[in-house]
Amino acid sequence: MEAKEDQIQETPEVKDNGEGEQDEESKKEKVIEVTAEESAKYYDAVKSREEVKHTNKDLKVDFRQLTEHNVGSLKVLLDRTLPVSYRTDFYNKLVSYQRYSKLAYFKDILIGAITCKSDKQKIEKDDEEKHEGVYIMTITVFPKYRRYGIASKLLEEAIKDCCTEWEYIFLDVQENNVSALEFYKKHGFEVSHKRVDYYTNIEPSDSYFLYKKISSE
Amino acid sequence: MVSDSAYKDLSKPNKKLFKEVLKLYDSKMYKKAFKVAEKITATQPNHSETLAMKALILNTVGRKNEAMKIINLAIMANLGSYTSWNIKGMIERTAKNFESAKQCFSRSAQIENDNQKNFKDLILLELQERDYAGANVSITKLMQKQARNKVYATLYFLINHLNGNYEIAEDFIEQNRDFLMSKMERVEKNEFYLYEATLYRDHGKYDQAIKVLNENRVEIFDKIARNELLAELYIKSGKTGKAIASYEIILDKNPSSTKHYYNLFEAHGIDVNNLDDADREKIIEILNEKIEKHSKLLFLKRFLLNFLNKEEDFRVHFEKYCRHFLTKGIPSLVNDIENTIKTDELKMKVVKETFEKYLESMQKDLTIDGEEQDPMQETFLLFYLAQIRHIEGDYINALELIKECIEQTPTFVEAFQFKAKVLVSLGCSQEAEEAYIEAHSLDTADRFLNAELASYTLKTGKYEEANEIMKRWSLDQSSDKLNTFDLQNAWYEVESGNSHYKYGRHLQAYQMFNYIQKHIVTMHKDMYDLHFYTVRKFNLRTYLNVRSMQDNIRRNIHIKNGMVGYIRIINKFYKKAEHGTDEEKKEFTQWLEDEEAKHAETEPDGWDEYSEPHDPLGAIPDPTGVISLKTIFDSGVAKHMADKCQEFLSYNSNSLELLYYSIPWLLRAKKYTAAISNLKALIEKDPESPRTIYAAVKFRAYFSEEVSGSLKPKQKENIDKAVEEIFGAEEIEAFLIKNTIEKYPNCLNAARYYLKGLQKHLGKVLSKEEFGGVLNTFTQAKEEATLKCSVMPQIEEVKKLISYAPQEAKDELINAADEVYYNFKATLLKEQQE
Ligand SMILES: CC(C)(COP(=O)(O)OP(=O)(O)OC[C@H]1O[C@@H](n2cnc3c(N)ncnc32)[C@H](O)[C@@H]1OP(=O)(O)O)[C@@H](O)C(=O)NCCC(=O)NCCS
Ligand SMILES: CC(C)(COP(=O)(O)OP(=O)(O)OC[C@H]1O[C@@H](n2cnc3c(N)ncnc32)[C@H](O)[C@@H]1OP(=O)(O)O)[C@@H](O)C(=O)NCCC(=O)NCCS
Repeated sequence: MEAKEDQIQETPEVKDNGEGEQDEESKKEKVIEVTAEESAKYYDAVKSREEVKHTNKDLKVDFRQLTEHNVGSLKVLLDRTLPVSYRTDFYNKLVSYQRYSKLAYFKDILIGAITCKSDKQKIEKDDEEKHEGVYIMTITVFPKYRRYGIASKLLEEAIKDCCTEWEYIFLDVQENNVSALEFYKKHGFEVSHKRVDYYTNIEPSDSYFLYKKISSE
Repeated sequence: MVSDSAYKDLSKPNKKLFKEVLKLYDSKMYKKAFKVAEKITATQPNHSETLAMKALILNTVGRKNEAMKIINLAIMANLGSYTSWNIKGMIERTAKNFESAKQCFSRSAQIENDNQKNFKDLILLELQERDYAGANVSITKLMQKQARNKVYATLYFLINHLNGNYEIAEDFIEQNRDFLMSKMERVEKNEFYLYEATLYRDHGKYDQAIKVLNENRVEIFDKIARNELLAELYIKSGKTGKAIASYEIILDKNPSSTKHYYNLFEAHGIDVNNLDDADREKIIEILNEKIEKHSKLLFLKRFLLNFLNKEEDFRVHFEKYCRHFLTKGIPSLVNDIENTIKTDELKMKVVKETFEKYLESMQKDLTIDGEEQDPMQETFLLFYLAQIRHIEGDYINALELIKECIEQTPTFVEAFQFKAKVLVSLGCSQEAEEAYIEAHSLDTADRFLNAELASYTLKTGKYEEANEIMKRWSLDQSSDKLNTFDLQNAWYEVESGNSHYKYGRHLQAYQMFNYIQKHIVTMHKDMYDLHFYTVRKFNLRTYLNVRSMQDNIRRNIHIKNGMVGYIRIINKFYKKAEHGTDEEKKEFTQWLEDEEAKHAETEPDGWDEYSEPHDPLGAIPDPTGVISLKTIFDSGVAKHMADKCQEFLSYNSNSLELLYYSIPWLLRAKKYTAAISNLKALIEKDPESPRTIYAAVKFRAYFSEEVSGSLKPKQKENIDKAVEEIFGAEEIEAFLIKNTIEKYPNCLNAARYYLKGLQKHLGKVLSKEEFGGVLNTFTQAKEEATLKCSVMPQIEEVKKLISYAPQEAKDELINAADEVYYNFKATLLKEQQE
């Protein structure tokens, strides 16, 4: 999950890393703080819920592009499942980058989504150079529909679309987000390092930086 | 247009000038033509035909009011002028006053009865006004002139058909078959044979009709139409076996036609309005056969639900049906079957039990009947169950369930839509709008959502916003051009009208409801162009059908609701105009005059802008409707309204609203017989309602000594008889009490009608104590307020009731009611936020 970007600057640890991603556009991508608290509450509730493993994994989802007409649904999904709340700009930009977002519909109803952007990151903390890749900003599924392989399919779709162009896929996970860490582990991601105080206004504030090599060469 | 006799009375130089006027007119030089005509009237000011030409010129350039004045002078100058009557006919026709136009052409036809053009004009108007007897005379005249004209010939048999002279039409076709069918195209032949069979059918000659359809089997390529007609004819002639075969063919091609299933059942000898067990079994057998054949068709499975009345049969079938909807995730399950189950306790029970059973099992371990299901089925079960609770009137529980449903799957659009509906039922229109905005934000591309959002916005009284939404919506569909008459528009107009009415914006409300009336007129006017067109194109059956389409427009639900709104708003104006204080009356008249002045049509008075003939259809006259409102009040509102009510009732004889509202207007218009018969119809159709009782009381109270005194003996006798039939020996007040508050001691509506009747029509005002007695109802409602499901709408009722309280008690009571209202709303909204 991506943090509020203007805050990243203020974090000494990440500052070096941050340079490259401070392009004009992403600076405008801001996060609203107001509902963070509430979302966090929900987030906790979600996580404390026991998640069963389902034998019936045959949910026939179809994948759709993000458009100006369904972006409202995506917003509801993110607001309800993530501890941070993104601003309108964020969504506007997503719509214009539509290739980087995939929405999962089941019976004509949105239940999960992945949103990405192209980015440059240092893979290892001490890397000299940054690597081009796809950064997963969010991946999320409504609690009721978890452990049905929906997120896996979304990730697959995103990788399918990007692997010819990019070498890496990377992201940040909040330190305590066990299910997400488990999820990425299962999909062969590697934990590179921890970024201290990557998040502000949510606890815990540290993140793990994860990556996976995807290019076919 | 202008006959030779026009020159008769002119001086020599003027004859020359008159010729010039005609020439200039024909070459569209209107200004010059008018100038020359003025030269004639300078010396012969009363020359009828010249005046008529002046009027025609003015009319052509759009100066309609002047034109109308001058043409009347022309007629007065010579009542026997063919030309003047003919031109008046033309002018009336451009104003779309078809009835007057018809009379003018009919006059000119009497004066010179061998002018073909005149008869052609006349016949169109006769068809337009459905004066088929007149049309018959005119077409006979035209046939004498020109028997070998195909359009005339076609009109000849059509008009005879419409007049019920089947024999003549049939003989004519038989004798002129070669001529009529010469050079006929494939499409026309198809149409002609189908028409011919229709003609024989209308005449009751079923075998003959069947013969036409069978002998020309090859030529009639519209197989569905042929089979429909055949089946109908077989039934009528008692050949049920063949009828069944025909319906089977139709149903194979079109297996979801309810109408034809009923026809098929009837062909099997089943009385569909009165089913016994054997009938049901037969129907179930037929439908099961069809279900096997079209296994994918949901319609059939749903249709079958109507006929299963044994609990177990229904349950087994419904469970299968429901499982299908659950696995597919189809939100319309409850909507589709609502009419089937709503009035059937047993079916309602089974449906509810099924949903509850499945829900419980899904909540336990995500299974139904022992098999694991996808998790969304739980969401849908909550959604379905919420709808069932809503049908039962248990709004609070419906809201609970739908909230839980949304919690699980917060992107389920239909769930938000439904939540809005529940909130409206609870009286929270503000919150409903918010829920709807949420639904809309999930999917902004949906046209239907857009339109519905507009209606929710209207419910909170925000017209501008609603209009914006509607505009957005109609822009989206600019590609599929609106019809002359878009019923979706009518729906919106009725919704806005009701909203304006509710918020006391009377002129705007009137404007909306007046649109509906205008649509009907417009539709009638648009028909005018259709007469020759359909005949020339040989769409004979279309022509017969269009007439019924025109009749059906008044049966359309939006149009009917629009009429109800129209009456209610005129009631409001009438109250001000007739029953108000002198000051109010004056104010109303002044207001009408001011509004009229503001909106009066400005007509062009020069020539310059108009080089082309003015298009009379282009401009929308009287956009706000004030001018017609003033006309209505100036020329007798009672008669206008009484006629309108009766006109609509003749198409909607079962509408309780129309019956109820029509009675006061019929009384005011002194149409006592009609008033009595509508009151009786209302009593027959809606005997238990306090509103009906109120209508009866109002009726009886209307005949005060003063009114009674002015009645003719026969009228008085009829009214007394009606009163006796309805009231028996009962005194009016006793009758009112017995049938309202005594019969329904806990019903606020009954109390309201009681108070209304008492105060308005019996002239009694209750004391504070007495009113308190009636209000017991209210106190009870208050105690139950937090539990009872439909509290909010009740509060509205209570407030209406309080408006009849004695002045000194009003404020106190209103405050108490508000308190209940706010407490309830606060609890409700708090829950919602959690
Ligand atoms: C992380 C998340 C997207 C996973 O979605 P999902 O659709 O349930 O994931 P999948 O069903 O595809 O899981 C694939 C595998 O990941 C692993 N996994 C996923 N969630 C897990 C959990 N809670 N515990 C342990 N393993 C888990 C499992 O190995 C799983 O395979 P299995 O079910 O066969 O054992 C979901 O939990 C979520 O939406 N969380 C909240 C949002 C969030 O934190 N997103 C990440 C940051 S943006
Ligand atoms: C909407 C409604 C609550 C308005 O009630 P209201 O404010 O008391 O009615 P008005 O003030 O408009 O009454 C004016 C006149 O209209 C008639 N009228 C309208 N509604 C009436 C009602 N419910 N009861 C009695 N008369 C009514 C009466 O002729 C009345 O004259 P009166 O007071 O001399 O009897 C009421 O008409 C109603 O309940 N109607 C049924 C629902 C309906 O018509 N819906 C619209 C369908 S499109």
